[in-house]
Amino acid sequence: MKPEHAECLIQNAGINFFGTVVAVITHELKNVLAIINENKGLLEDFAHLARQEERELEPDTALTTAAAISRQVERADIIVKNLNRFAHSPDREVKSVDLGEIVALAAALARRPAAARALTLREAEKPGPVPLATAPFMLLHLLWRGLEFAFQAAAAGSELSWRVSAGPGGGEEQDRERGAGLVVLTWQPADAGAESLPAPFPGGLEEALLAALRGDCRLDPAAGRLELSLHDLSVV
Amino acid sequence: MRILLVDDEEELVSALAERLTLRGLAVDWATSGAAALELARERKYDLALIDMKMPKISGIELKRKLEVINPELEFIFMSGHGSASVFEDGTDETGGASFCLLKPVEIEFLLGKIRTLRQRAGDKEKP
Repeated sequence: MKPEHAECLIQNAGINFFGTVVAVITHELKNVLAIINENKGLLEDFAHLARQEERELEPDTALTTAAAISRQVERADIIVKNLNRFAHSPDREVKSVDLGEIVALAAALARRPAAARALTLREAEKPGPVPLATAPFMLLHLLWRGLEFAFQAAAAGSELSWRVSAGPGGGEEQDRERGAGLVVLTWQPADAGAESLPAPFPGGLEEALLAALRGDCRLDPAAGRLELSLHDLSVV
Repeated sequence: MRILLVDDEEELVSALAERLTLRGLAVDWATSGAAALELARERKYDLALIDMKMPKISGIELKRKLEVINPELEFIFMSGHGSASVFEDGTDETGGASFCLLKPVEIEFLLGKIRTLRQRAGDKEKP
């Protein structure tokens, strides 16, 4: 693919990706608002009933309902923080990030599409910081595409886990110094006769993103494993 | 009127079910399509109030399966979508459901829709 075509593909697909993520997150926020709304309504109902029956509102009932509202406020706060981090990801073309944080953000944004296939996402192990100078928005896009592929390839109802480490070799000193990182997604593959087979990975868009990020990927569909090795964009 | 309420958000269905029950309606709730189908096989419902987007079985898919169990069942969908114009009542997008309400749903608005369905059912029964 010619470089100008690759850039155009990344830009156009990037707008779609941005829209998709915002739609997913706002759907989730609408659910949170709906729960807050029903619990607020429930508190009003209890108060009206207590007034009608000329008795006091039971403190335990009020506290239980208020706790349900608090849980949703906390949930909304996390969702909005993630959305804000995502919205700022295109701010700078290349930026030094912690790869573990970026992958965790991608997984948090993809929680709802995962839930749609009854998949749970889990970080296999928490690494120390894995510094990487990269293009955060493009990296999030690549991770999203990788997760989407894994969601299609995974058996419904199973668990998908990710692991981040420093360096394609798993932490060799020279890779660590260079700040290169490795992301490994693993899942339980769906049966061969599964209804919807995923599109091949990497496709044209993923190849363009990998080239822009100076990354490589290795896919083992039978084992349910996708490795993305990412190189530091500050190193020429 | 007996209502089957289905949404994968447990805190939403439990609170909404309690509010409808306080208003004299008989409500059972489920947090998955599979659980809703089980309930529908055990008991006859007049109305299913269903979230459009749920894991494993979508709202529209669930509607089709529930119709096989009970062809007289009425449907109202709830959606977290931002735009009402996308889901017009009774269109293909809503699988022909009578109404599609956007979350968060105002209880009085929902009760109004339920009254409309009750009225329609009553009209059908008249000779």
